[in-house]
Amino acid sequence: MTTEITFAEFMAARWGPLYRTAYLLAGDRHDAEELLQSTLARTCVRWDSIRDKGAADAYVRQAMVRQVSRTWRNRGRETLVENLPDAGHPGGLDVRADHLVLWEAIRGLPPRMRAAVVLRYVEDLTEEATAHELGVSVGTVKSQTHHALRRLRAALPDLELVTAKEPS
Amino acid sequence: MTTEIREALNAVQDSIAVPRVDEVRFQALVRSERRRRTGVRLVAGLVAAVVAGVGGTLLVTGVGDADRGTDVAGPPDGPGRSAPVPVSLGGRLAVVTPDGAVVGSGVRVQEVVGATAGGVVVVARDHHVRLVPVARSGGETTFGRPRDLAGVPVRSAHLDKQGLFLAFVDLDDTLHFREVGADTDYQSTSLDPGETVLGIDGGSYTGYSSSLGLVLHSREDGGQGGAELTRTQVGISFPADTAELADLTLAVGTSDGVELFDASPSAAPRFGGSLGGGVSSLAPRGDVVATATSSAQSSRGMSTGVWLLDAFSGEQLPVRDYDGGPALDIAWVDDDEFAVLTDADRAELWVCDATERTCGQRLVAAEGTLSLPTS
Repeated sequence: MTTEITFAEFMAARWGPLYRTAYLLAGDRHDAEELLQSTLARTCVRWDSIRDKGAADAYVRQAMVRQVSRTWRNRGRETLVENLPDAGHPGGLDVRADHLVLWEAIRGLPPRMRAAVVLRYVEDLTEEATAHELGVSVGTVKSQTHHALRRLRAALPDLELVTAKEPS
Repeated sequence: MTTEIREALNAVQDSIAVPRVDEVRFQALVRSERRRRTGVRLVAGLVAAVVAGVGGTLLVTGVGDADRGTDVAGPPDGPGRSAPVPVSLGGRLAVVTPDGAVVGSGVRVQEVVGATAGGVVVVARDHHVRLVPVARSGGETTFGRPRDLAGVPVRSAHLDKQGLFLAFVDLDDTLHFREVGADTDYQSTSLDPGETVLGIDGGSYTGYSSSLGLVLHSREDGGQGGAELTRTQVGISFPADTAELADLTLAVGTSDGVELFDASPSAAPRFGGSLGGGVSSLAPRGDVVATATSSAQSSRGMSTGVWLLDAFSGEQLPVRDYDGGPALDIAWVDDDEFAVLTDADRAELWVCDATERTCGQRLVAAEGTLSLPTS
């Protein structure tokens, strides 16, 4: 007899790793927390409808990725303000200087381009799996990744930027 | 010195301090989500999209504009006042603003497919699917130059519920999927003989044919880059008028009501039989269906009204302040609001707020054909 994991158990076990993913996707601590909490709230309400609880992690991650990608659609309903809010800052990260500089540049990428980089190079997804996660074509993933790397290299000419796995 | 992206991002991930779960905030979000799903007041997170200016010479009456007609039901107030609604009015694309004004584009259309971030997708009279840019500046709404999205004539066009992806059927009965605005497909497939596409979500779609009935084509992504479509015949009780997909839900609209299924290759029915009214539309998040009484149901003695149907529990909750009689069509205009088109000689447009569970009349079309987006 197998005992199905409860939502509370899932959240307790996966909050940390999912927050770290959310941070890379959102590029900002507060946005990451909001993104993850709202996604988990939706997941909580739908928990009984998710048959394969072992895939819940991927479900949440995909929901966050889609949410981040969707933000551009809702731009038309945003309220314009006179003063832009302060940009988030990555202070407090105990990482190498070149890693910090690179992360700053990655934070400046458009959300979906940043998501493609995160899925390919951190989550280690194939181009096909990344495309599915983003809800786009493989060609778009290739293009987004290619342009992301080109932008990063142009923005950081002093860094010799390499990838362990160049997108095919 | 070399900098490796994976190593850098992993270092950032490892370095970021993980906050404790804000239990109070999280429980509030869960309660809100539950309330939102069942249509109880959530947060009026609706941003007013103030638009002004009236284009064209359409003979319509805005509810809140006493200067342009006699069909005035009172000043705009309360619910359903925030989302502009794209419509086909007199065969041309127009936008009905929150205050009931109509901004005409002059673009002649066969149908309005739906809204995306950059504008409104339409099927034009020449059978081409186009994006008509819509912009707001200085309180005025302006339409940009339409852009062809498919490059070929189409038999039909469909948007997913989030307005991100477009699917169209070309004259060879091939169904193409692409991102809105993209020049290339991310997926294409041949339709079954006689099949009509009813709804899409990502690479999945629903099709109806007289020979096969309703079929759910579920996209399943394999590990080696292959994506397969799994075909499942959906066991419905009445012929499908609509078959919408969003997230986990397949909602089939029939003359008798809504039949709900899992949007997975099993297409497992959630409940026995049908629920709600004969006119329906699945919410973009796939968790709620807006339904209303159809003329056929009304003629059989069913009282007219609008309800929200929880797609997971089957619970039905009435929506207040609707007085438009039998409905002809329903379409969601954003995550929280939906438009109801009445089935009468003088078509009325009502906009309802799913979180407030209230409706308000926005427009009375004194002349011309008024129709809602099809996706």
